[in-house]
Amino acid sequence: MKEEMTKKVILDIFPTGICGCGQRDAENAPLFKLVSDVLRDFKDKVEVNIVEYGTEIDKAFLRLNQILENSGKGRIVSMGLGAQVFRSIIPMIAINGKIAFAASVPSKEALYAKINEALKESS
Amino acid sequence: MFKDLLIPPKNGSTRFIFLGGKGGVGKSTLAAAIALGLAEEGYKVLLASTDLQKSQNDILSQEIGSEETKVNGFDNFEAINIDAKESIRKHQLEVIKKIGSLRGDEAEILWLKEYWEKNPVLPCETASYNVFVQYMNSNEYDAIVFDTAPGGHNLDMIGYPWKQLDRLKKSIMVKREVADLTGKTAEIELLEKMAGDNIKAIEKLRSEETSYLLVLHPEMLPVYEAKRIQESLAPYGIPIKGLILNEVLPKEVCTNYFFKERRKLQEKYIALVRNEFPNMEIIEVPLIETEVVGIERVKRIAKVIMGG
Repeated sequence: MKEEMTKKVILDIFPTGICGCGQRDAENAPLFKLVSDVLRDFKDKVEVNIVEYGTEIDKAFLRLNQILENSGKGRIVSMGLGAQVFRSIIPMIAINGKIAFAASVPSKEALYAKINEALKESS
Repeated sequence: MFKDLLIPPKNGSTRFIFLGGKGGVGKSTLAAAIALGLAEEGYKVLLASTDLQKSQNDILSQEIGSEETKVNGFDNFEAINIDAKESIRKHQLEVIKKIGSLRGDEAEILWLKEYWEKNPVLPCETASYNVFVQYMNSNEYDAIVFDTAPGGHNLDMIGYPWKQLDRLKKSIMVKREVADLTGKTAEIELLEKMAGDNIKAIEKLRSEETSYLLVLHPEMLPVYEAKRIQESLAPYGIPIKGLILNEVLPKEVCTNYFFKERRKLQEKYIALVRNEFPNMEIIEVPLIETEVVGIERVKRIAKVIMGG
């Protein structure tokens, strides 16, 4: 019997904090609240990856570059602007590897609409 | 004449004066003397110090705040000890003023205002440099004399508009690329205005309006230091326009063997400096019999400089 796989929407969350000074931490509170709402409401239909910086910064850069390429923004990757890219687009939420929201925390309605849209596409 | 490097240009623009040199050569004292000398000639002057030691409090014998403070006895002479916290606030106010002039989506402008009120986004160590850029764009004074900490800090500050412009340009490039995703265009306009301030500061630093003066003791090591600073400023296109040879022993007091010999040594290095920097305005400031503390003593030094 063929096992039916549960289709999941993958969310990559890029919080603030990349500048290292912590002055933008306040923006993370509504972002993480939104993420916890998503996990509560969509349960196993979503997989959430919260990107870490610090010692994991290289991985964060690689993931960001992939997402930028997938979103048709490969030109930014080739510019080699490094942290400037992060600073310009965080907080950022990518859905299924493509930028969904950048530079600010979206409303719950806007995010849910995009997650539902992605679920429909993957079903 | 050396004085021509100090007096404000005739076209009404502000004269910006920087003093460079090793620690302990008397930059702060001479900055105070130049500022005071210009104020005595009737110019509206600001003495802006980024020196963490707040030496100007001792030199001018009064508490100089982190806001422009009137120097006792003058209506046209102000001094300020630029501190990081106050600099961040000033920079925020300046940016918020700029946001007020942006045309764009109302919601984005509101977001920008809130963002800048909550997030200064300035590392503390560079906060005072932003205030320096603001002063370079100000027309409020006839002359601004910058009293900076020695060596590297001085050059860090001078080079800041270049570094900041580079950062802003990169940020503008990225934000333009993602504007379709973020919907933020007013922010790009804001960053362009901020970049404009740095461009103007760079133009002014390279212009006739700016006088970068080097202070040195007439000894061997400071002469090498002068050469090194000259080389460090060259990439920015900022020339050293004048040299102040400080604490030169007055000939008339060098009557015994010890002082005659010291004077002879100084004369040797004065000649060397004049030979090494033939196209520069050079002034000699004598060592006086007491420490230069208090307005009256600063006036003595000012008189020498303004007469030169």
